Amino acid sequence: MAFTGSHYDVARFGSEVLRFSPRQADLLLVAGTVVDKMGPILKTIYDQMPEPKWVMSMGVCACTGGFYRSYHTMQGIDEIIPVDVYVPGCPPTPEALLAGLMKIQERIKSGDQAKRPQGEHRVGARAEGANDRRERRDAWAGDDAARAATGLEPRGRIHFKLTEERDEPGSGSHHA
Amino acid sequence: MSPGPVLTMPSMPALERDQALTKPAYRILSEKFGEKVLRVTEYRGDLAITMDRSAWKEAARTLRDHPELDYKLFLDLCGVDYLNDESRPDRFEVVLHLYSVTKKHHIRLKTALPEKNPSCDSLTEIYKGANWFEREAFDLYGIAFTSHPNLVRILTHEDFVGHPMRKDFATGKRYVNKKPKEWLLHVPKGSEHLVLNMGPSHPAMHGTFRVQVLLDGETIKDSAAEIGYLHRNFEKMAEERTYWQIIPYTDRLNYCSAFINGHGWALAVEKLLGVAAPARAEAIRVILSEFSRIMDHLVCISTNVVDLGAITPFFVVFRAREEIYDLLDSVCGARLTVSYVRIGGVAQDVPEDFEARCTKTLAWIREVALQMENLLTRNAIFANRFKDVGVMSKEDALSYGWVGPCLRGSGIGYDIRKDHPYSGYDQYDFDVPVGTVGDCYDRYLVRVEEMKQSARIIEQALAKLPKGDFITQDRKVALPPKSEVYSNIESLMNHFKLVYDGIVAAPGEVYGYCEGANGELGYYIVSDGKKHPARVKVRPPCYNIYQAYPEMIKGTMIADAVAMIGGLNVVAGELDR
Repeated sequence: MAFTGSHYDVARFGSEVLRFSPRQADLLLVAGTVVDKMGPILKTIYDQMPEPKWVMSMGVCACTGGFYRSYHTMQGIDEIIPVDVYVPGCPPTPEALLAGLMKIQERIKSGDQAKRPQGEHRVGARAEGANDRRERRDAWAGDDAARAATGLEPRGRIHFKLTEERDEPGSGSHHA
Repeated sequence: MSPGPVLTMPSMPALERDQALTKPAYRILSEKFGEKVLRVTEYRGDLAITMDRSAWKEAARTLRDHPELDYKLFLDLCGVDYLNDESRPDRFEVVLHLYSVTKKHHIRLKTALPEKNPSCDSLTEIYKGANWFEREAFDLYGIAFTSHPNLVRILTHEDFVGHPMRKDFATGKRYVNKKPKEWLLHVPKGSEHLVLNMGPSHPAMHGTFRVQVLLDGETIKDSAAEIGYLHRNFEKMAEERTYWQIIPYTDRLNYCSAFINGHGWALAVEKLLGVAAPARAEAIRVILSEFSRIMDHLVCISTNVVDLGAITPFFVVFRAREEIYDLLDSVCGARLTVSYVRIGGVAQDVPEDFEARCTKTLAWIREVALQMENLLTRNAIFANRFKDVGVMSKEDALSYGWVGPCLRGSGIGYDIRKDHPYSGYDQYDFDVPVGTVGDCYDRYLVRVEEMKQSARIIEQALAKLPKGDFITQDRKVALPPKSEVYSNIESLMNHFKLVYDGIVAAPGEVYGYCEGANGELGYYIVSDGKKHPARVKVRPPCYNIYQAYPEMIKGTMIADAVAMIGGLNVVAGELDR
């Protein structure tokens, strides 16, 4: 809340408009712990956002589950949605959050695009009880190595297409 | 079930009969139920009575209705799992905490339940607040409450299997929730009313809670609430942490006033251990608790009026909040999750310019609070939206277990700082504001006045801030200073022993409580003599408060429901834990 408040004032960075409907937003800021019960709802919110869209994971709980390693806590929101910028801290300072926002602005300027939903392409992400992040990351690393051996890029690496080059909707955009 | 000794904890012996008879609760219960009163103990001043489960419900009714006892305020109900405890014939226990605002006494009522059929009567008829607490005990422990109106899971999701707080449930075992729960309401077939879902991600909901309302035009015909969208298992984690490792977790309960949670936790553990913090530490705790209370009230009021469409107070008020954060930052290096309190004191002494900073911050707060009042209190739109909206009667407030500013708004002046002073609150002169109607406007006025009283307390505490230690010298509880650890062997040993073994509490159980920003924040701690607590139950004030919300909004307009929720100050971190 301090992020939008008068002291830190995110408006200075060209991003003060808060939209309470995901259908009008291009940046999803996931603040705080996401638990398993919230998972499908977070996924719905992400799916409702129009493209192009960006996700910022705010705080270690959203990034990795933090120190809640337990029966109902998602061990990082990248289990279900892709994340573009991870902002650490518990909670992150407003400065860290502003830095995260500027990171996203940089990436937009450089033409990088958000990743695809990781749950779709990452091995092991949806496994029941895949609680151990290291195990999951190992599975991903293995997958990346296997693809690299056959000359393929790691999954989830999507290059942004500039507007004039963009294909017709549905005919082979990065969502195909 | 065979009666007999239920507890054989060495440090919690049963009271002798003549000693027990001096307790009115025991006398009255044993006159009425005779043999069914199995045991009575008193540990660290907490009276606990164990009943046979056949008399569970009637015992609770007697406690509530007997004029000499008058336990009208429902505090807490929880399950406890004593797996592998040889001394107990029964595995589970249900624990009820009650309080009487007229007689000013607490009681803990317990009943033991066998592993095979863990069930007892539901108390929902007697206390309205018991509803969600029993659902929680069912969800987390699998305890069935007969004749409960809606015994379904409350904190975990629908696809969850098992009862996670049982000792034999692996902490990391997770289940994927495939689909959110769609219907909370039972909508009659062919109904032409609109069902509107608010939350768990909704701008008016101040966190991750959810209500579903059945609308006739703009009037709410029926409503139901669902929680658990931030259930991150504080209590399960606490069973695997040492007493001081739990402090950071408590910060994340009510994150708007994190310091008070830690303060309450330290008080509860100190009660369990029988140690006291030095006077300087207590004064520092009081000052920071009161600053946190002011901050919590500021956030509550300003976000509440944002819901009504007034954004200016938000910007005005958050300036003061930043000042308080800077103060906390200078004291402990963190803005929000302070982790500053320690068992037996605080982590370090306050900086040299602490008093000057506090005085400066207070001046800021006074100015901002005045601006806020000018903007709101006599503002016609604001008053129209708040007056006579969300009226809560005294009886219902007690039955639901409302506490804090919400209960005081309903006209009951129960404030733990006054009625059971802790941390030296009895040295300070302050008043407890009380509402008359019990509507949103009263709750707002109570909060505004409480901020002024908090400022008074801070001023008095600053004026006589004692010199001396900031943490107890008891080496079984507090670490020695680093300089001593590096220079003499005894401190090195103390340090090693305390870090390696942790704080060890004698077997026993206490209920420690303090006045949180939302009301009575209680910790029920069961120790089995190891370095980890055997059970920690938080008594979150807004769990009771939010429970009443679906009932409060029935028959009102949808816009009033939005006005009400902010003033209740429900914080998801504390609600779901």
